[in-house]
Amino acid sequence: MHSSDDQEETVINFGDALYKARKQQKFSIEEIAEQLKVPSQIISALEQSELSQLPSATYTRGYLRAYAKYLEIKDTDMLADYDRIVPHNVPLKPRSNLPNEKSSQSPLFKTVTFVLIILGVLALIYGGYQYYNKQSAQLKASSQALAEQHASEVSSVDNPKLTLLPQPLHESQNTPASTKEVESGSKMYSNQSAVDTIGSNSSTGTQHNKTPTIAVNNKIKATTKVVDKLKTRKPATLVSVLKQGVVKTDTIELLAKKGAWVKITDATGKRLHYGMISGKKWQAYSGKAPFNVSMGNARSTKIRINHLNADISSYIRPNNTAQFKLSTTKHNGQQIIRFQ
Amino acid sequence: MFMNRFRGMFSNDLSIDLGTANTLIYARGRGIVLDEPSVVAIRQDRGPGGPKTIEAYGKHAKGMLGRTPQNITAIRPMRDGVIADFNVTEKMLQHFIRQVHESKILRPSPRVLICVPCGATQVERRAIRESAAGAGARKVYLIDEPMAAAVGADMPVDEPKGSMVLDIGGGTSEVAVISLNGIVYSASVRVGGDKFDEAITNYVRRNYGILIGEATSERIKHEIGTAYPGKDLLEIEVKGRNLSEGIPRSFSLNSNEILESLQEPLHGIVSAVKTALEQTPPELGADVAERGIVLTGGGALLRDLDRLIMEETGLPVVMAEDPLTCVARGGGRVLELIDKHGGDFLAVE
Repeated sequence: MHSSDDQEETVINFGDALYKARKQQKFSIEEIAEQLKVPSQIISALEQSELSQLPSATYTRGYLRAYAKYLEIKDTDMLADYDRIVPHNVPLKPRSNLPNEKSSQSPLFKTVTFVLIILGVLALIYGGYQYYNKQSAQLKASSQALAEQHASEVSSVDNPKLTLLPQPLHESQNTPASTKEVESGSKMYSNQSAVDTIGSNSSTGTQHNKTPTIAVNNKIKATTKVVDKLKTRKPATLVSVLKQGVVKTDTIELLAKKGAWVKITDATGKRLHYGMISGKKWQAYSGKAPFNVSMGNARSTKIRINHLNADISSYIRPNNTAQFKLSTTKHNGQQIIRFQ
Repeated sequence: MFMNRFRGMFSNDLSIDLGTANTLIYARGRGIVLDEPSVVAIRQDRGPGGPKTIEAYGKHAKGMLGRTPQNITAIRPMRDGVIADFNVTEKMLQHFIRQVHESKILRPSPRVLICVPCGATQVERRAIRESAAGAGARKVYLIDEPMAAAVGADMPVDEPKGSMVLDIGGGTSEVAVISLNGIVYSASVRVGGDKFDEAITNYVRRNYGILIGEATSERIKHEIGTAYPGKDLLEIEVKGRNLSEGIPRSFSLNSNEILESLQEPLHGIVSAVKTALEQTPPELGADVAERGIVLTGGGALLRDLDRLIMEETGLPVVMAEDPLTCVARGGGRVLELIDKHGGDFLAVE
């Protein structure tokens, strides 16, 4: 902390005031040294402002203050003078000003990092949003693809023709399961429902389709509609149709012009009809043969099974009722009706 | 870990002089940012088992000392330079650290350098370290108080020359001889400003039969306290409770009486300095004799204390500039030096 700046020394003499005051109060250097416990050469160095003789600033300033206090003079001016020659108490530099300081405390670094972090967070949010959008789009696409796949499968089942019935919705497929499902809730009128059976429909032979209401060729759009309707109404049907493909089923048709009470159950024990039949139209029920039929007003009622007219006259009881089991079998390459 | 660093980016490095009487905080690049008494007022409602809340810190709490109702206690969590109440100290530090940070969004996580008395045991140091960490510090450095005081007083600690520093704090007085950035000899006596107050209280009770409070005795010390007989005789009018009558009475005290009352604690300090001089290696002792002893700490503001030590030791005694903040400022400079030279510098733990 020693300053060897000779020019400055000669210009500023901070010790002059001390010297004058001491002379005025008639103290000797030794007396002062004795009182302040400071060596006499330092006292004279203070008076002559000889920086080379003086210790570091902390001590010198302390001596100056003590000396001034002892002589009862003001010390502010001389301390200010001293500080001008020997700058000390350099204010601490902020960390960013230090050499070799790669510190995070630099304001620029701080700002940049802050901005980067904010940008990072924004990017994350945007990325997340994009990802979510993509995911939902994918989900949509996959569900659409699934629906189309279902549709194409259904269309392959119904190939080449598909029938749409307005009311009740009915899709007459050549699968017993689907037929059962469809019929379980709704009546099916034979003259309304008509489907060209495909070749794989083995045992039942050909069906007569009289009045197909709306026939749509295998257009995917329409099929999708059907599938959607089926999906909304009876998803199990769709699945069973898709899974089981073409399975054989039997049809029983009744015509009771004067009206008849009929109960029909199929081989699985499922009740196909229970109640009155009337009207001028054939009424068809599908199920697994043999069908167990109990009926009233049997004389005026006609029955067909798999499009073969059945003669039930021998089963008609005197009270005009009949009860029989009805099925078809192959005999010498021909379908024949069999009563049990 | 990352979060700490991130928060640290927005926190200032702090040097804390966690004193018995006052806590000072020096922030890098900003100077002394906090100077508050180490007092905390705790409110405990609903009886002795009730929940405790902090009522006030610092100056506010100090005003409550000795003036609290039943549900509030104003306490000083530091005693004799070390932690007496861990939890309260932690809360107080936390409050002060937050107070010196403007940002209210992020919890500050500064690097903190805390000055501890050189006589503090390992347990006491650990307590200070943990309470600072609990208060949110990212990294805690501990440094011996006299070292920080010497650096703060701008003493040439890096020279191969002995420098003696005497730091008189609220709870302890530390004397050390420093050379080449290290402490050669250090001693700590549990005598400080508090002991002065206590001595004054005892003196008044013994000689006047009047009881005065902590705050009053401190005021007496500040206004007329002296360590060496001076030319002027100062007087002060104080009020206290007369022990025999039980009624508050007013009476006057003069500086000579206070000088008399302070003899015992002053003797403790002087003898610590003498012991230090005895224990100092001769070469360093010679350096000290040539340049003198530097006084720092709030206790150094006691009138004519430098004169007393000067007379007792026969060595020049120099008062540091702004002795109250020396330790905190020194700590700040040490933080800067740590950044420059690494953590092993200046015997920092």
